Amino acid sequence: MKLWNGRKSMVCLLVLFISLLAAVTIAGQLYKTEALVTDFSRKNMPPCFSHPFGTDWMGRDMFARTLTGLSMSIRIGLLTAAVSTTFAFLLGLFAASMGKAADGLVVGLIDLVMGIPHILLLVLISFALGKGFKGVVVGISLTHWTSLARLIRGEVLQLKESQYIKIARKLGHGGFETALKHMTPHLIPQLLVGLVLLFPHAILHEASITFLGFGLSSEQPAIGVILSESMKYLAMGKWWLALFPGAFLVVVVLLFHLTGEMVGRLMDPGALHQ
Amino acid sequence: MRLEANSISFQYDNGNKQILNNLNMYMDSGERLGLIAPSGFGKTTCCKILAGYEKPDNGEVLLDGRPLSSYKGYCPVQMIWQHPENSVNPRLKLKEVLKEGDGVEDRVIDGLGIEPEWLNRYPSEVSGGELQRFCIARALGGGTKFLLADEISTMLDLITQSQIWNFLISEVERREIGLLVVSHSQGLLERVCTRKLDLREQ
Repeated sequence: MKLWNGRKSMVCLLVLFISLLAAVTIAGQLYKTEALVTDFSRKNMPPCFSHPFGTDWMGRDMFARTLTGLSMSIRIGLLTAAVSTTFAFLLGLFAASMGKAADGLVVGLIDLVMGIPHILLLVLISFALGKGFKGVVVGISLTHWTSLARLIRGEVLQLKESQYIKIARKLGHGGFETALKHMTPHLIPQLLVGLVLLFPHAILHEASITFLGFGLSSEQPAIGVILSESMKYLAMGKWWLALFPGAFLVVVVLLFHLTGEMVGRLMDPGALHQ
Repeated sequence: MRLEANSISFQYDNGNKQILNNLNMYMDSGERLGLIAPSGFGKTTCCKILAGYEKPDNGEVLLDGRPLSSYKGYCPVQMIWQHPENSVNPRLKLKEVLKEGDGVEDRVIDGLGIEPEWLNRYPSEVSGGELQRFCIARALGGGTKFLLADEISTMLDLITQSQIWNFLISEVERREIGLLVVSHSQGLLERVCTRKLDLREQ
């Protein structure tokens, strides 16, 4: 047997990606105070050796701000995506396996939440909860589960018609047991993809409500805040204010995407043949 | 115990012809009934109705005088389907498939020639014939009173066929299970069944 194969190198790469993401998250926390230090003697400096990402109009080090911002965005993105995915999973399963009334209720709820513009509902929820980290997380979690829930419901409805689920019911397995044991393994790849796709959405929506003034305060610089603030200075030729945070946001989203894809492939190698 | 179908009629929703029309049949425990008809005469449909997978448009299926639908939990009438690859969850290991059944005894597992090394594999990692043995074993749980075998040996070689049928005959005799055999093979039905029923004559 071959000692080294594609699967093993993929696991190594996966561990590397996850530790990179974790490192950024932790480093951001460590740079938290430094990101807030203002020093007008060094304002508007382009990238140099002491400040690799330059400094902004208040003399804050952009490297520290970018890391803190990424850390904030990753935490918000992960938390909201995880909560939304769990929500979508439970509601989708509930709708499809608990009869007509439950289905009607959940579908109605999905239509209701989807019918209201995201941003409006987000602003309302975030404002009602006093803005800040909590407001943003709850707001995004409560608005982003709908399309995934619809997908899961459809998948469960399809699985319910399959022969092996019908056989399991005749073998005396209850609805809940079948859902947990027979359906969940089919739904996990879908959920992972959903989680990964939700992540950039969550970050972008966090940025937009922060921009509108209903999200994080400016002492908690998430990438969205940094980008929207740098808009004004971009026209004056201070390209480094937007380039580095923006590029690193793309890198983080890409890392997330690749991680999700690899987990999916490691868990379900047969999907390639389908 | 007696499993009976009282004047059942059935038509699929897609508006095709009436498949079963006023079918009356019965089978007793310990009996081995062979069901014959050409393709498209409703053999599989008949099995599905008798096992409770489909509801007949008219008539009823009685087990011991009670409607089959009134039996909750493990259904005493189990059906083995023609295509084993659709009958097992592709994401469960084969030992989990055996656990789905109602306490399948080791005697059954050995008798069907299931190798212990298959248990840790996924359904796509064994052949169709090997998978069919798992489906048969799963349907032979403790609560099974009637077994409906819908073309279960079509994909097997002759040696394996005889091995499985010999085992099934001894098992149903030992446990007084009623066996319904659907097959196109006249020789098999001659050899296995105690009584035959032709759907065309109904």
